[in-house]
Amino acid sequence: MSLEINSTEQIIKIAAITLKGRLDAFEAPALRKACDTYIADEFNHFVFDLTDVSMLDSAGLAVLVSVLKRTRLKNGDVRLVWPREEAASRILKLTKFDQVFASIEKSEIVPRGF
Amino acid sequence: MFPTITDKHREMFKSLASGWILIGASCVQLFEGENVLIGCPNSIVNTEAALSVTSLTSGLTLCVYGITDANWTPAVESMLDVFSNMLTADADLDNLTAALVETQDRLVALYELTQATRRTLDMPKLLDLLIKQSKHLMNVDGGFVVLKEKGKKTIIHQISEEPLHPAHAEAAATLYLREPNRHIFKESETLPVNLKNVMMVTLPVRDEISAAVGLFNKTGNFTTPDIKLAKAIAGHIGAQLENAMLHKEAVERTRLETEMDIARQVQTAILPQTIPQIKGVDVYATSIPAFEVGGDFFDVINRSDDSLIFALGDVTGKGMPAALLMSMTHTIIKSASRNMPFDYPHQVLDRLNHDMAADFTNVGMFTTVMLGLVDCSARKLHFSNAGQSPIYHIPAQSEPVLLEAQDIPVGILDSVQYSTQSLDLAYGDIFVAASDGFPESRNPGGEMYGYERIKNLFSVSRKLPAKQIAEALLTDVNAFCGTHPQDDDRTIVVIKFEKPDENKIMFNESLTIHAEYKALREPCERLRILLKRSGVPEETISLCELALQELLANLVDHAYEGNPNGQITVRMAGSREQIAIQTEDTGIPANVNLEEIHMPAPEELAEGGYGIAIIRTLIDEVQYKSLQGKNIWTLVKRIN
Repeated sequence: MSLEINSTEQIIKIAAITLKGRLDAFEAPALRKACDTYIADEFNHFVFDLTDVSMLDSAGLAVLVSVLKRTRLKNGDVRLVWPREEAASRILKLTKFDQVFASIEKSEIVPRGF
Repeated sequence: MFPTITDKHREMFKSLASGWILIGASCVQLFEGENVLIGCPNSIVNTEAALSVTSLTSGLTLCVYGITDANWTPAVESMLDVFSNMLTADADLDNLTAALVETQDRLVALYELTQATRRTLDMPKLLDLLIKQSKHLMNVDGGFVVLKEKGKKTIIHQISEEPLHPAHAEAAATLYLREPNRHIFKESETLPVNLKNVMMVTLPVRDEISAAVGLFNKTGNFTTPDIKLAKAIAGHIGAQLENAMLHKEAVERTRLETEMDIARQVQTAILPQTIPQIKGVDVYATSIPAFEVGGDFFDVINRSDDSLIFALGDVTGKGMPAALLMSMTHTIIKSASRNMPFDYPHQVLDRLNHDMAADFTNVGMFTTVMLGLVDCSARKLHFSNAGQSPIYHIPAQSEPVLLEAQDIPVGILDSVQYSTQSLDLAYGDIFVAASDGFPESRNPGGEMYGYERIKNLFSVSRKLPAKQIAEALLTDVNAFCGTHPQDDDRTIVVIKFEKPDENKIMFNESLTIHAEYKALREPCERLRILLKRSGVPEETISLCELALQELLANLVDHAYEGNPNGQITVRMAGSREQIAIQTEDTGIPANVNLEEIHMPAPEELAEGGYGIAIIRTLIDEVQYKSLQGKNIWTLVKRIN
């Protein structure tokens, strides 16, 4: 009896981006540009580590939403590591995006075991 | 009946006749009755024997002289036929051409009429053009137009050598409008004496107006083409008249709106945006204008670190003149309070009356004014009252007292000596200046709010801060009035004398930045520092910061559309009760109805439109005003 082997290869590119400081109208364009590059390079999964973000405004939020929209179109998704500061998480609550973005723990960014 | 005989006809006759002459005829002639129309070789009367044929249809006779053989008769008949047919055909052509030319003339005339009326919005001119053109085209002696509108005087417009009596014209129009399908009326019908014939068509304007055009005394009879033409002209003029009326109405409406708008802007531009605070006094002032622009003004001015000037006044009359006088009065008071060295308020009123009496008298108006000076270190309140009412003193420990005005309003007499009264202030004492819009407010039953209710309300509210006392009164008056609309401005200034509180938060700063994202950090950080220094909790600080950040980013994006040369002034003021943030820009006014702004739903995954909704969620009071090129956002966050 010979062994039949069927296998498929799946490559999922995940961009893990750690942000520190203010994610506001001034800083947002730089983040957007970086994400655009990743998306163009076929990264459809993003993890944004917002632990050390001191302030998040609607311009910063807009970049996150933009990435979410585009990745979901390609069957990808965005995960957030929740900010520590209330000044950053406040807007996510106010806009109810805390129910839209899935959150993960810092330790889950890199899969365990590797 | 027949066309003029032309050379072409003669040529043709000649070639037809030449055949006869060849076989021996001496002359061929064509007769109409006794007259020779054409002859070849000549038309001279001929007595020779001839073959003669007459056509019954055309009435023409052809004579061939010198031929007598009856066998030639069919040939003569044939020639007569041919020639008659040709003349008839030419006659028809002539008629057709004439009709075409006339139609073309009428079209050109109609076109010229449309050109002439295109720029005319003047009703008499349009009616003139209508009648003149119709007269000219249809060859009548005169024309008239009758315009009837319910509730208004009937308009009758006529142009003619011998005008009709207006009553006759109106009668003709009435007769016609009853049966608008019958257009032509002849003599011997129910027509007035000097009317031979009359043609009437409807002048279509708007539904509310019945109008008819009458053209009379035409040489000959009116024809169907005349009716058609008259209808076409009337139709066009009717449309122009409608235009003219709409235009007039729109102009009037705009004029009214503009006047109201300007008056309102003048008024709001003058009213103070923020109330200055000094240690030891809790001050609040506000004005709720009635629907029509009124003449109330008020102001609170910092005189020094420990003294304050406050003013309240009411200009008689409404609309533009009142608004202008009010603004002049207010400006003089402001300027005198700041620049003129005076010890007592009556000196400012003396000055005000001296400067303004002529202006007020010219328009038959006057203004009541109350001007007060609070001197915290001396613990005194000085005031001068020129006819303003009601003014209340509410001592901390006893009942409110209504203070009667000592002097007459400003602007009545040229030289008046105003007087000052002084009160000693104890902690908790309150002084209220209000406009008569309060006591004179009515409920649907016709009852007035009156002075007792005001007194009771103050008595009950004396422990509240100044702002809440004012709001309590406004709420109570509103509740009393119910569905009865507000007839007059309600303006109030509340001064509460209190112990200076060391822990009171007090700051009042402003800075100006360029409209670019990188410049937004500075005001946000400054706000954080000021609030922290004042002991405001961190949560409040961070939400105020977010609100300011969102507001400023919004202005950079929308007011200045990213133009970094735009400037934004940020003012931050704090008291122990509230934090006020105000921005002022000179960019594109925001086109917002704050009530209608909602947070986009997260499912929409919208990338924008959150800013103002976020601000409204975080901040207690959000206001936006745009006047005279300045756009002002005011955010007020209350602190517990």
